[in-house]
Amino acid sequence: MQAISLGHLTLPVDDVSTLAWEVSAGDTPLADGESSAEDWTYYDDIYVKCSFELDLETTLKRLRLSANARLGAVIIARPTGTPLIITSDVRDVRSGRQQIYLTVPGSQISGALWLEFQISLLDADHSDSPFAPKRLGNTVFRVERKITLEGVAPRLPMLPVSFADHGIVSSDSSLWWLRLTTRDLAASASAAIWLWLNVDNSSISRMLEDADSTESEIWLRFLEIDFMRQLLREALSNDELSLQIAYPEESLGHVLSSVIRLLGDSLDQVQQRYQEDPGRLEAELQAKVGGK
Amino acid sequence: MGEPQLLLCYPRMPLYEASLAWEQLRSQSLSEIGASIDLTKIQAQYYPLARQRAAAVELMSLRSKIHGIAEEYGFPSHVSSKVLVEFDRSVGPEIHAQMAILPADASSIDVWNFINTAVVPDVVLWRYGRFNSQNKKWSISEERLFDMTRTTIGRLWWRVHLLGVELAGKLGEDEVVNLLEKPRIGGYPLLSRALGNRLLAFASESNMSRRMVLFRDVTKRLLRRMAIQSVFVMTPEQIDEFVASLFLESAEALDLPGKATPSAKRAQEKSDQEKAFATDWPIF
Repeated sequence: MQAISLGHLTLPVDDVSTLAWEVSAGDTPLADGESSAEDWTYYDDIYVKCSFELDLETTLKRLRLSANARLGAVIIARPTGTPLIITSDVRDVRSGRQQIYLTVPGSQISGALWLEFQISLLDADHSDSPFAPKRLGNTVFRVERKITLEGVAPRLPMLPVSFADHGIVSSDSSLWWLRLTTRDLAASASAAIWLWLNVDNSSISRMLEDADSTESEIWLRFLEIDFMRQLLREALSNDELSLQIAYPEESLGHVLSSVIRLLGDSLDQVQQRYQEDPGRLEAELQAKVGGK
Repeated sequence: MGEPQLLLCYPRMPLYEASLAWEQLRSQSLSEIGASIDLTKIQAQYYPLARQRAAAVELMSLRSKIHGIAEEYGFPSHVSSKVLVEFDRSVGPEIHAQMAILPADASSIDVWNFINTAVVPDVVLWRYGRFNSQNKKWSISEERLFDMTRTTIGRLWWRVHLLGVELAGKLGEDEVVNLLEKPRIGGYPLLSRALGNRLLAFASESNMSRRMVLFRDVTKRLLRRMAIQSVFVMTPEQIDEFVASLFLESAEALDLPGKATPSAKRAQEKSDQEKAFATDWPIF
């Protein structure tokens, strides 16, 4: 975590020494650093323990907080498959070694599970330092761990649709349609992005019937490149997109900012290059995504 | 919520298969569709490790329940959109209670594809379809069939599961979608319920008509604030005050009439007090 990235001081990882996760899926413990719970089922709860050690007085000083400031630790579980967020009880942080526990019901989760350990301010603090965290909930320490529970390959909602039914004249020449149901960057990407394939088109119909043929492979390659090209265009035209915001992994904002990052570190820079020579930028994008 | 062992897993239908089935369903009348439904023999996949499967009896009972409620609201006749919304509000709690589905299983769009396509396709068309008498075909938005946040039956189950019966019944369709399609907000019941309740209270106190405009602004502000303030360490009361202060900020920014409640006023005063001490740093 960067020192002032949130507008207030935070704790470097080294300051929360001996931070350790203990995670088990049902009765099966996961080894330190193991990220896949291969035998997990809906009936196996995930047991999480996070232990850490710090010196509270030193910590408060380092954060330039007042001596009576309260910090709380919490574990947050976010499954990618279900729209649920499950949290542990919040524990007051004290000096010395301490533990925090969370049981995540297996029946409530699917996909992958993001676990976040967080230390945040439990009350507004009136420290004189302009660098100190001041607001309730200001987070001073955060680490994440991801556990893959089951196959989470991103599934682009590709849908066979008759474009004639959607009022497109001479629809049999039309191929595909990238539909964004919302431009809300916080919305779930799988709900926001749809790729409709036109069943009125003979080439598309053949591709749907036999996805393994050489012709289908060529179409799919072309489709993938065009899909990314359209996402790039969408990303560049979205006024609210920012590479400085950490969008949730499953969100539209995350997908669009990832496309921009394929081409550069700054949105302004990519926008400028696109205005100067869009063809070149698209060719660069093809090089990034088309070579598989 | 019952023990997971007692909860059921439902049959699944992949998107492509469901899409092809709908191509046929679109050219049939509601009575033809109703007559062709046979839930006695289910040829579908389930979650492979399911311990309890919803069998024909549960599926027929589910169809009977949804169909019965639809009839109370005028099915198969054409009815006003207001009546259809009332149908949604009525059917949501009923299916949530009756299905006894594992939430993990309910997160699969393939489950809702099956319910929409094989169990109640006639009700789905009645609710969201429009019959084109020229080409003798139904048109229905794909989102109402295959999109997890908008799917006809599944979204009603999820909104009751996340918001509770009372709040799910009071919020408008757009408001619920705005809330639940943002996983960071909608998935944390303490927060989503505080937002929903505050919206209803705020709108009723100020007799405000532009509540959707306000709500969108509030959720945007909330997401920005959540980048620097964790709601997960807040108590329910603190979340409520936090949310109330956001509503006041939004109402003021949008120049909407807003009558501050005592707790909202306190929250605003507290927030103003904090601002007086805090240096506002840009978020990098």
